[in-house]
Amino acid sequence: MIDALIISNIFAWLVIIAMGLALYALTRQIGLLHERMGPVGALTVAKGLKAGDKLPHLHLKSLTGGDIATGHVAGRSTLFFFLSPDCPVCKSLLPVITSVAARERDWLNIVLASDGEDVASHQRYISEQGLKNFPYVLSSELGLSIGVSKLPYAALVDEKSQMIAHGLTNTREHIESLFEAKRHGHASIQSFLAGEQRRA
Amino acid sequence: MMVDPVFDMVFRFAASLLLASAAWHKLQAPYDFRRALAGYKILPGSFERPLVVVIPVLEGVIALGLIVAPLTAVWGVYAAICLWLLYAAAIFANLLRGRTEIECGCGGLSSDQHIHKGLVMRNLVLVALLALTLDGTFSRDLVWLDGFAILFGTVMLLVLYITADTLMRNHATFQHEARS
Repeated sequence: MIDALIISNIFAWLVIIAMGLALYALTRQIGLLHERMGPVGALTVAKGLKAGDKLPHLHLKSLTGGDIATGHVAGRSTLFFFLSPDCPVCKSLLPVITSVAARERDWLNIVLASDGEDVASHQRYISEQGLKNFPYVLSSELGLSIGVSKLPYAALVDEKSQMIAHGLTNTREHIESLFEAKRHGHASIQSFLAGEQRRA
Repeated sequence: MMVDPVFDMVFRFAASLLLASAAWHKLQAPYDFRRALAGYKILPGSFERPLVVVIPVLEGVIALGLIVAPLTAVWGVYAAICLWLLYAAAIFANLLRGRTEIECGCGGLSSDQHIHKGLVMRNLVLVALLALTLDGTFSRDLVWLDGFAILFGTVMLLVLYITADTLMRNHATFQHEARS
């Protein structure tokens, strides 16, 4: 019996060592993956507000109740997410918006924005997608002033209502890139790289 | 080097299951296997048609031989070692020729992948583990606990095999992407 115990113990140790090595290899591969998938930038179209520009003063009524005033010192940053009920990619990003709202709630307001006359379809969209907790405004003026051309589009403005970065956002990475822009103080990957070159 | 009967059985059982799964996979998808075989460009084309059947059948027979009786087990071990060395040589030859784009055709537990030097290493490790059993075993009475060790040990070895295989495949993919 003691032989069997010794053998099974030796075998177990060998397996544990092998698993440890496999785990180490795994962590290295994860690290490699992180390097591969560096931050990607939201696609900024070269028009509309530049970084640092102030949002225009607008008073907008939210479909979910309350008012939104843009262009004022708010004390908190705001992420405007432009969407439309008939845009499937926007719909796929709604869970991302919800999770970002929860994660960044200490410093970030989120405003959903769209345009169009058909208020009923927007109301239906809000109740279907469970967007009651977000302000939801209809304003083509807001979109035009920022420079929204395609959906889904997102714009991040700081607490003084100054533009940080905006761009076409098709994936979670694109939305995160706006936060990266705030963190690093560069509106786009191009300006970041230009800064690197100047320093070098 | 003599080994404990538990190690002897675990290595043989795991090798047997490995070969059996590879054989099963090749018989299931003969056209894929034939394409992979042709990709190696080692044998004349006329050999391919019979080999598509002969190789998996051979693998199946060896798999059985490894576990059935002590007498056939030794021959099974020799046969499996030869087969794996042969595969390793075929892969190595194509790597030397720089033909890294061809399918491995391994099948079974190691899912389809392009050939890379990890596969040669893998086969050499398999050969080394099986070779440990060639010098026979200590004689001792097996008790019920050994049954567990053999069963779980075999499963664990196969899981580790799949893990190592996947890790090496990912590594090869990364390097391939970095080159291209």
